[in-house]
Order: sequence, then C-alpha cells, then structure tokens
Amino acid sequence: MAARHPSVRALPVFLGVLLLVAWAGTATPGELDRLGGALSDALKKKVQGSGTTTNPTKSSSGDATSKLVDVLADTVQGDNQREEIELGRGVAAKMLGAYDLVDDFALQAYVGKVGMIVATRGERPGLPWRFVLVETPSVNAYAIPGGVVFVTRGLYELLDTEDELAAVLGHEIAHVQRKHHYRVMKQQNVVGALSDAAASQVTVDSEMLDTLWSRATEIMTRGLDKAAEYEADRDGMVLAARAGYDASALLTVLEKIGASAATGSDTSMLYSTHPTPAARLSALGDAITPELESAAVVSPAAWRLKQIEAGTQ
Amino acid sequence: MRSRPSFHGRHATGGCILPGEVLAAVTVALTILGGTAALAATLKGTVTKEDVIRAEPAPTSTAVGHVKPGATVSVLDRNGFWRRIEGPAGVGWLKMSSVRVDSGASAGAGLAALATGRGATGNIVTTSGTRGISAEDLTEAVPDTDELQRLEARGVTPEQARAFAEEAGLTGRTVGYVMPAAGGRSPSGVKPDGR
Repeated sequence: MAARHPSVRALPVFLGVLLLVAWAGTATPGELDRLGGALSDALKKKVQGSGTTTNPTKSSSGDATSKLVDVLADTVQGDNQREEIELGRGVAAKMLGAYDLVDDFALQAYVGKVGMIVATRGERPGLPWRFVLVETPSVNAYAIPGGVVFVTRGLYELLDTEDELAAVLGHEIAHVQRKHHYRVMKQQNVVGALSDAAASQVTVDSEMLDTLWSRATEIMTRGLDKAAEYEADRDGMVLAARAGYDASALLTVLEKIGASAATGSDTSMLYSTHPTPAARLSALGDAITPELESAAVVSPAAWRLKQIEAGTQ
Repeated sequence: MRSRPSFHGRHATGGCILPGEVLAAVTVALTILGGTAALAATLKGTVTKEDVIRAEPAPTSTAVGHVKPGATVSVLDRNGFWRRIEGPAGVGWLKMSSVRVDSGASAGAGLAALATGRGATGNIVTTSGTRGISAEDLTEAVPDTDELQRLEARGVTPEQARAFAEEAGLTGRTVGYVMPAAGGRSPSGVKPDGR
C-alpha cells in the first residue's frame, strides 16, 4: 500500500458520513469506524485513475472504491438518489447534534411503523425511510432529503389518533417524494459544493465543510415557498388516505396546531416556515375530491396511538 | 428488545411509572365508552369563507342555509371534512375549511374531542410556555454521528409495516393525487415521485 494521500488526514468525520452511504448504500456502525481506511483507499484509487477513464475493477477493495468513484462522477448533474440519501444523513447528523431522539423504544418503533405504512403507499417506497420523534417541546416536523423524518415531541403530544400521526407523516413523506428541500439545496449549490469537496484531490478544509453542512441544515430551518407546503398537504392527505387512514385527519391536526399557538406552545419555527394553519385549512378545502371525501372515516387503527401511550400494546 | 436507559425520563410514556399507566389505560377506556356525549359544546368558531350549510355532511346534501365570512357560530361536532355548526341560520353541516375554531383555554381539549369524535382525553397542551431549539441551534450544532447510528438502527421493513397495518384492520384504498385548484401544473414543478 502506498502512502496515504495528504488530503485524507484533513477530512473530518462528517465528510466520512457524506461518503459512506454513497460508497456502500447502507453503512453499519462498524463501517463508520473503518472509515479512515476506506476513504484513504478510495481517494488513492481515484488519484491513480484520474489520468484514464474510470474502469471499475472487481478486486476485493476495488468494488467499493469503484462505486464511490461512480457516485462522485455522476453527482455533478441531475438528481442522484444516493447523493440525496447521503446529504440527508449529513443533515440528520447535524440536527441530531441539537436534538436528542426521544428515549422510548416502543414509541419510536410505533412511529416508525406508521410512517412506513404510509411511505409504502407512495412513490418512493425503496428509500431508507426513518421516522423518529425528537425531544423538544416545539411543535414542528422535518422532512430531511433521502427519507429521514423528524417529528417533535411537542407536535406528537397534540395528536390524538393514529390517523393524525399518519397525516403528519404523510405531509413529510410528500416533501421527500417531491424532493422539495433537496431541490433547494441543489439550487443553492450546497450539494455540488459538498460533492466537489468529497471528490477534491486537494486538502479539504474542515471549516469549509462545516460551513457547507450548516448551509444545508439552514435550508431545513428556512422553509420552502408556500406552494410547496400546500402541495405537501394535498399529497400527504392522499398518501394517508391510500394507506387506509382518515383523509380528514390533517385538518384536525392543523386546527390543533392553530389552537396550540394561542395557549403558549412554541410554534415559532413552524409558523416561520409554513403558511398559517388557517390558510392551509382553507386551501385544503379546495382539494377534497370525491375519493378523499369517501376516505374521511376514522380508521380502525385510530386508537392505537392512545394505547401505545398508555403502554397497553 | 430493550430501551436505552432513560436520561430524559420526564416524558417517558412506555416506561415504569405504573400509576400513570393505569390512569392512562382508564382514560382510554373511558374515552372509548364515552361516545360523543362528552363533546365540548362551548366551542366557538368564525366563518372564514362564504359557504352553504347542508343538511348532511356531504357535498351533495341539501342546502339548508348560508354563512358569510366573519359570522360567529357554535361548533358542535365533526364528521369527516365537515363540521356541524349552529349559527343565526340554524344547525347544519359546513366544510371544515370554511370555519376556524377559535382558540381559547378550552380549545385544545375541545378540538381533541372533535378530532376523534369522542370525549377529550385531557392530554393537550403540556408544552405551555416552553421554548424549543432555534434555527441557530440547528445550523451551529456539532454533528452527532452516534445518534445518527441509533436513528439508522430504527428501520422498519415494508413487511413489518404491512403486518402492523393488518393487525389493526387497516385497508388500503385507491386515491389519486390532487392538482391545485388554479391549474393542472404542480407548483413546485416536480411530480409526486420527485421527477
């Protein structure tokens, strides 16, 4: 083995997070530990192959390496699902630096299953979806590119039925399906810059990378244009209805969010990134098709949410 | 399966406080037994759109009245996308999207009742006066790869999801996406599948 490329030592852990999924698709915790070596090998191969066309080889270590090179090569233009997943992992890691996951295995498993019931009725069932509660009293939810969905404890506590949980998750799934945030990140060159940094053969400054991750995360906190939110409301309602949930549950959630703001809940970030609940309710009124109308029935799963809360499941 | 030790136990719901569990179970039981009788009748609403009041909660039902924006009504019940209201023109069903339920001290519990069609469970608004994490906290956070690993360990397979849906008797439906009222194009220019 030749000496490591000098850039490798300067790459911080989050670049590793960026590269890992691109490289392997799914990384296990152990793989994170082996990151340094893998990254080193990959970049070395890239340097060696840079004078010629990349020719994927099938040697034991070359398989993963060639995958990485392929990903880096085709992330320059167009959408790339691995890149999107990748980006989402980096943003999720960053957000988890501020939020703790709710420390309740049964509750997290419940949210994960309900999310997957809805997501599998959508257009991107194969994404590595994760639906988790994060520990904050703020009322909000996030759809991170690649399929990581955060719902805050504060929002979860407003919910009374599984139908309402499905409605919230449906809205977030719709954002991911439509690549709303991913597109903004691409438009603002965050994605390109991160890919360039990953592919760079010169020393990558860790501060610069940190800035890029901050910019990507900032996009999660800044909000989309209102039309995208209305779109996610309509799609989310459809996805929840497809899964068998009460199509009207999103409307009751919006009413409760509206009421919670008046009783002192922290909805500041939600309100700064979304149209008002009243405006969303009003817009949904124009989107109710006969199919949705007949799907506005309390589902047989509605009461599971309270049963889980009561620990009776 | 075992949960991690609780470091943030103040909210733990599946945990070890037996009286709480019993209380919650009783609450669920009472809620289910309570039927719609416990609906808060004191909820007030404001009409946000000029609309028709109908005899039944369906768009094809007979019109029995008419409301104008700004009118105050009593909100009595909910059925699907419809609210039963009582206003100057009498009692009837109005689209949920045409009335805003006024927030107030009792709105949370009342809305819970209307959301479920059953009595309020009183778990609403436990977050009063607290503030969460700011946008700056998020953008300035140090990435937590350990927590990311815990998150990634929480995957659910499509098969597990299907089994969980069947367990409750959920049955899927065919429902088409809805285009915005203004025209046939998606406002974001992206199809539902992201293409």
